Amino acid sequence: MMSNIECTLFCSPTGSNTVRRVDSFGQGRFVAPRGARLHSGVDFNVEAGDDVYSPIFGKIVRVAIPYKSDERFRGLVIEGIGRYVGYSVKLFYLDPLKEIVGRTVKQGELIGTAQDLTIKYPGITNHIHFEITFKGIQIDPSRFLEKEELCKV
Amino acid sequence: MQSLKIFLALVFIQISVACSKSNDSSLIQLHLQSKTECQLIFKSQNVSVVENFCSTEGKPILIRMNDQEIRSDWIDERTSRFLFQEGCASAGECFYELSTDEARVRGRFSYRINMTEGEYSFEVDKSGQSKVFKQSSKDIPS
Repeated sequence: MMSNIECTLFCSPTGSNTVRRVDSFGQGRFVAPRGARLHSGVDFNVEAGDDVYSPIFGKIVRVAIPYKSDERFRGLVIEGIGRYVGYSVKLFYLDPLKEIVGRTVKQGELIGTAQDLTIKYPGITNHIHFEITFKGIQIDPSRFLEKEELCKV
Repeated sequence: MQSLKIFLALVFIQISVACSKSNDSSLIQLHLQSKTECQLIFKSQNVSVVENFCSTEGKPILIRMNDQEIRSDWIDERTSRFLFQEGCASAGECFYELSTDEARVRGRFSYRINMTEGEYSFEVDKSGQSKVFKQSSKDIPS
């Protein structure tokens, strides 16, 4: 299992590998403290309205809803295909492209635009939250990041 | 003599701890065990809660505790459907805690689903009538 993970690289959903640094709401790295729990993904810095790309080759299976009672915010769930079989990606805080659900996307392909999280949390660094599991086990995507220049479609 | 006193003290402490634990043993914690096309199943030994999202006939929640079986209406339908759609944020973060007496089942449901965490306390009587007492939910930044 590990050898499969080690040879499979992910693209940053923002096109940049810059991870959110400390702000008044926390830090963007994997397992950064969040009160009594740990951060379950990696946050990549973005400006509201920027393009968001698929981190893997896969199928967009559904829209994800980060908050139970705040439907302004959205995300996407992508299931891996080919060498990404077994991977499942959850991205939060983006407006998906129209009719993207059900489509197969290449790694680095445009899938949406970043939302403005500061309207809910003033002072937070806008970011895309990127979670990934392999066969149900959560992994740290920042350990397996592809070089930015190799992620352009 | 000194070591005998220490030994007796340790025995006393162990008995005290065992007794205090036995007071909590009536509370049963049920973690999310599986999800099927239509159901969420929470289970622990002889106790289970099954939430059914497909059938439109009958009550959607089935609580089984030892020899008791109670069918109930939704306790918090919105949270249940959100969990069914999005999944639990991580194993162990979505669970029921139940206790029972002859007239009813009392419980608490605690969850983290994506970026929302919360809990509610409830009661379901033998006829399947449910009542929520206390509810809290918080949106958390990623």
